[in-house]
Amino acid sequence: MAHPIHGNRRLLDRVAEATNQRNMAPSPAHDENIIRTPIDEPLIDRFAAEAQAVGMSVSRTTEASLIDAIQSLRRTINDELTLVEPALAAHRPELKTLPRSLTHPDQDQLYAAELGIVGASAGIAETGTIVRDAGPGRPRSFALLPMTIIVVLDASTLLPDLYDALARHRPNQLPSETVLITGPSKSSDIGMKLVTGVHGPGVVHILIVQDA
Amino acid sequence: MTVLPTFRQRAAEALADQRLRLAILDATTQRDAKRRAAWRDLPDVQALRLLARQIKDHTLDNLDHYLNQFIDNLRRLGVEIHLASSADDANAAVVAIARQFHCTDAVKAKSMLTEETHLNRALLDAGINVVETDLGEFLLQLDDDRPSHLTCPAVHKDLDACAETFARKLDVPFVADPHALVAIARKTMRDKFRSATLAITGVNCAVAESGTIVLVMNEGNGRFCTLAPRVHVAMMGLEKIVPSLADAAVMLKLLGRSATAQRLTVDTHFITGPRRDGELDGASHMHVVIVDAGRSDILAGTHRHVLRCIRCAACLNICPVYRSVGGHAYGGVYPGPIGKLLTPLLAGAPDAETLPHASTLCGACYEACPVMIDIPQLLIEMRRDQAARRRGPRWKPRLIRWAMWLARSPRRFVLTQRIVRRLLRPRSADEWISRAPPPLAGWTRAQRDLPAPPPKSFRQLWKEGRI
Repeated sequence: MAHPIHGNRRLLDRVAEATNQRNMAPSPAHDENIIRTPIDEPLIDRFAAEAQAVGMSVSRTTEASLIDAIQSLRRTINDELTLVEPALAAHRPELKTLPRSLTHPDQDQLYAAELGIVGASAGIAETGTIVRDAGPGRPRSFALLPMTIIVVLDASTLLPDLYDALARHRPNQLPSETVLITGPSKSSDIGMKLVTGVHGPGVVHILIVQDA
Repeated sequence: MTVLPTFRQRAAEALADQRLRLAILDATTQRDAKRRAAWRDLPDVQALRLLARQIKDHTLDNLDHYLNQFIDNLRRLGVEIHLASSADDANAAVVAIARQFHCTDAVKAKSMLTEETHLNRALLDAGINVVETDLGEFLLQLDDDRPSHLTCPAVHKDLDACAETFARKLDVPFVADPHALVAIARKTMRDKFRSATLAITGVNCAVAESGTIVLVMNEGNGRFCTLAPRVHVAMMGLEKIVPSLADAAVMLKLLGRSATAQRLTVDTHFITGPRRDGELDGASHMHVVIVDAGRSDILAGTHRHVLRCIRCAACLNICPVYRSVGGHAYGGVYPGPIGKLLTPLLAGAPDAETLPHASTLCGACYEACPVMIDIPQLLIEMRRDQAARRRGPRWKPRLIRWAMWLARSPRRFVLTQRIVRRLLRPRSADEWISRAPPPLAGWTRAQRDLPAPPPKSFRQLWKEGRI
C-alpha cells in the first residue's frame, strides 16, 4: 500500500538541480578501527560498568534465581502495581503470579503502575545500553510509564558496539520501533541541576541472566 | 556594514544582565569541558570527524538519490509524505493533518525546525492546542519566551527564574528545588500525553536505506509523544538524511558526545513506520513532512557545507561571543556561530545581514565542530558576498587605503605607533583601558577592556638590546 505524496514535487526537482551529480561516487568506506571503541574485558563486565556509570543498577543472576531477584527488587518499592511484559512472561509463568501484577492492564492501570518488568532485545557493552525492539507482546509503554523498571537482559545478547546493534536487522526488516536506553530519564534544563525521572523511568534495574 | 543596530542593542542588553552572563558562562564552560573529555574517549576522534564529514558531503552531493530512496521506503512502510517548499507550506501540512484526524490537542517534542517555521503559532491560530514536552521548552512556552540554545533551550534561566515561572503559570507554590519542579512537570505532562491525539516531533537523522527516523532525547518525552497519540507527524529539513544505519551509528557517536558529553543520549529512538498489527501502542498514523524552506538554495550555492550541521551546539559552547551575549542576541532561531550562517541563509532575522560580522574569526567553532564545518571561512565568504552585492560606506575603503599607506613605510608605521601610544597610555590603569577615545570607543563600549599599548615597542626594545 503506497500512499500518495502530498505537496509540491517541485521540491525534489530543485534538490536534483542543486546536486547536479550524474555519476554517483561510492559512499565513504567505514574503517571500523576508528568507529568501534576497543573492549578488552569480557562484554558483561564492560556492560555492567558502563550501565552503572550512567546511573542504572546492574545485578547478575541465573534463570533459576531470576524470580527471587525480581521479588527482592520489588520489595524495595513495596510491591506496588506492576506491569509484566507479555513476551517476557510467555516462558516464565511464575512472573504472571506475582501479586498486584498485570500483563494486560487497562488504560488507568497502565498509567497508575509504579513498576514495569520488561525484557531486552540486546545490550551494548560500549555504552551500557539496553536495546528494545517493539513488537507484539512487547508494548512500548511498559518500559516508559512506570517510575521504576526492571529489565531482564540475556547475557548472550550482549554486543560490543552501537555499530553492531544497528546491524542486527536487515534494513527492510526493522521493527516499528527500536529504542536504545542508556540511563534513567533525566534533564538538567532547570538551573543546570541533574534530575532523574522526568517523563520516563527514574530508576532502572538491569538483571543480566547468565547460564548457571 | 557600518552600523549593526539590532544585534548591537540586543548584545548590549545581554551584557548588562549579570545574572544572565553568569548562567550562560557557567553552562557553556562546563559543557565545553565535558565535550572535550567525551571526544577523548573515542579511539581516533579526528578520523571519525573526517568520516562524518565525508558521509554528510557524500549525502549532500547525491541528495536527490537518497531523498527518493527514503521516500520510497516510507511509502512502503505506510507513512504519508508531505513535501513543503516553504515554512508556511510545512505548517499548513501539519494543520491539515490535524484537521483530517480531528485533533484538537497536540504534544510536541523539541524541534528547532518547528521553531524556524513558527509552527506553534500556526497551530494555535488554527485552534489546535499544542504543549511543548521537553522540560526546557515547556518552561519557555509557559513564559512565552524563546530558546537561546540548541540543546539546552532555557539555559538563560536560572533555578529561581524557573521556579518563579512554575509558581506564576501553574499555580503551585514557589519551590527553588529542581526535583520538586520536575515532579510537578511530570504530573502535569502525563495528562497531556494521555489526552493528546496528535504528536509532533522533529527528526535528528533520517535513514534512507530503511525509512527510519531517529530521535535523540534524554527526558523520555520523545518516546511518550510517539506512544500515546494516534497520529505522529515528524517534521524534518531535507538535509537530515544519511544513507545507511551504519552511517547513522557514526553520526550518533559524535552527536551525543559533542552535544551533552554522552556516548549515547538516554533515549536513542528509531522509528520505522507506524504501529503494526498485534502491537499494543505507538501511533497508528505516521506522517513525515519534508521541508525545504531555503535549503535547496543553500545546496545549490557556495555555502553548502552548513547543511552538514547536526545541531549539536558544540560551537555555541566554545564561542567567546556566545559565551558573552547568550542566544537571544542573535535574533534568529539558530544562535551562536552556526546561527550566524544559518539565520541569514534561512528564514532570517531583520538584521540577519549583520550576523556574519559578529565574530572574531578565532576558529574555535571549527575545532569543536564534529562534522568539520569551516565556520570562520564561510563567514568570510559571506562577508565578501555582501560586500560584492552592495557598496558599503565610502569612508571604509578610504580608511583601509590610508592604513595601508601608513603600514607600508617603516617610518610612518613607527610614527603612528608613537602617536597611538601617547594617546592611549595616559588612559590606562593596570595596562588596561576601560574607556577608549574614538575611533576605538566602540570596542570598550561593549563592556570590553582594551589592552594598553606597551610602554616601549618591539623595535625600541630590540634597539636597546633587550630582546
